[in-house]
Amino acid sequence: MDLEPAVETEHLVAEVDRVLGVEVDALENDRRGTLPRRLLDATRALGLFGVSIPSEHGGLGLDLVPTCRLVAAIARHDRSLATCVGLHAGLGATPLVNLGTEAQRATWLPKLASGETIASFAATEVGAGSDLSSIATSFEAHDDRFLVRGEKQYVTNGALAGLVTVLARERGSRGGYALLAVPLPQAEVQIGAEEKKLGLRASSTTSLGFEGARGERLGAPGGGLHHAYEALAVGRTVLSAGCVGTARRALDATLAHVTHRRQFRRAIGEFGASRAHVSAMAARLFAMEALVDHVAGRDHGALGSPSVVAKVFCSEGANEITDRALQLHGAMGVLEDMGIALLARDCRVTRIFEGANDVLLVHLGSEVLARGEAPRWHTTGHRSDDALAERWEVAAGVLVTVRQRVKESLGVRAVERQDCLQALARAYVGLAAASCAIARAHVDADLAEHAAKTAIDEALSQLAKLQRGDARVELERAITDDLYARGRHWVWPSAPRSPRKIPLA
Amino acid sequence: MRETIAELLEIDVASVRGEQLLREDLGMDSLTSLELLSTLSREMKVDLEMEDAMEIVTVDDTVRFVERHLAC
Repeated sequence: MDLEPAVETEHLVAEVDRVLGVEVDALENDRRGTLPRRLLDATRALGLFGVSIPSEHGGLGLDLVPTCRLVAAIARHDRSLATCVGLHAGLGATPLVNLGTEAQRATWLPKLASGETIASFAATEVGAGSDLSSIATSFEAHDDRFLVRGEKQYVTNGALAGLVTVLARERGSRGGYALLAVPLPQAEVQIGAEEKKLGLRASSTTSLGFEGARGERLGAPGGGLHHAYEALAVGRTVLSAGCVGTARRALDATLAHVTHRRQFRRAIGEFGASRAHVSAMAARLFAMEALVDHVAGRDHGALGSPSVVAKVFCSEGANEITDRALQLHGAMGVLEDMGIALLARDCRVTRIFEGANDVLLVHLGSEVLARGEAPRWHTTGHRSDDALAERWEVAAGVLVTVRQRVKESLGVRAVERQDCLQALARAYVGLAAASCAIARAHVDADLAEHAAKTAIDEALSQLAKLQRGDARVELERAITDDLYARGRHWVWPSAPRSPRKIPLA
Repeated sequence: MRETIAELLEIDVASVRGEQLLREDLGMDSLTSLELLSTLSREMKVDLEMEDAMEIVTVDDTVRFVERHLAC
């Protein structure tokens, strides 16, 4: 059957929903801390490990937009499984697909496509988290053979992987970086124990120790860091799609709950306070979906900053939505058997991995400062979005003005003011999300209006903070200097003593 | 200059050599490049533009950039 890509994706999503609806018990997987073999086999049978692999190598050959739709569909059922598949399809497979030689692609891609081999990506180390340039893992070149030494941490799919792409630095020489494809198992690679985590407990996370492990370089000499950043941009986009899936699940569960749970002789969803929560959840999700679709539709080479926008907005959005879901479920929300707590636990790490949001915002802020353009990612043309588009233009004008003032007043030294960079970045993220929501106004005008207004308000709030010059920076420095100096000698502040003694009864 | 770069990247100064590319060999990204520029601006007591970062590709470029500004 030869279907249009969008229709084909809808069929696949429906099939994923049907199969995973039967096969997945996310709570049980979380309790056991592993993905059962039967579930991985079902995932293989659906072809999900091959979503991003070109069809000539046995994969589905899907672009990033449908890949994201499928990862979101998997995440609705089990975020741990979505993390396993998403990491494999994104960070795991991308370097090989984009950089591999014909021989490397012919050897590995068919195995990755079938899921016979699961891919992983190892960059983080004890001393290199958000700052990947400081990695210590090294490699030595011996003709066309490369030997890798060092230890990587927090490797997703670590215990499942048959192929891991490793970011390493050349020993001696100019010290350039490289991505190396290291096949597993081999005696020179030690797999650590499974980490005990807050969430994503069924997804494998281990350390990997390399003691002269054999690998092959992917891509040009010296391009490793650049290639890693490109792969991370794909990975962040796929991760954002996972956040959409978790958020969708939380909203669905919340809708079922608030329309059935009765208090004070009414369904709790009828109360204004509940409607405020539910509408905010739906609007945020609407913007998240629009943003992921937009970013995933870009060329891989142009994903850098947009993927950061999507990652920050979607990871924070998923955390907000699951938190609201938990609140609306009341005491039941904190019971593990309800499944809401699992959604909240599973998405917490998304604000941390594949670039901690705090650090990503600083980087994004420096780019906003250097470039100064507002993210006009929508086009006008729908009557219903005219007012929103005008509102957006006003806010975009404020961003450009404030950015110019920061640049003029601080010059290049503005890069040392993380508060400025983060505020600029948050304004940029808000405007980008609003822009994507506006572009979808024809799908649902109310959701688009709510989403765009909320995101624009957040952007303006950040810019207003910058404009008035926030004195808290100095206060924060004074408080933290004091706390760091006093260390553990913190005492509970005493209440002022009463001037007179109160007699005991 | 090599000391400034080594300090910024927290690496051994002996491993910083003139022909090295700041991005590919030393792992600097756009933010670190701007931080380098900011450090130079502070140490040389001159106003630098962000666009100046585009000129600096290698360690030697950085040295030449500083020499040019000091000569002004």
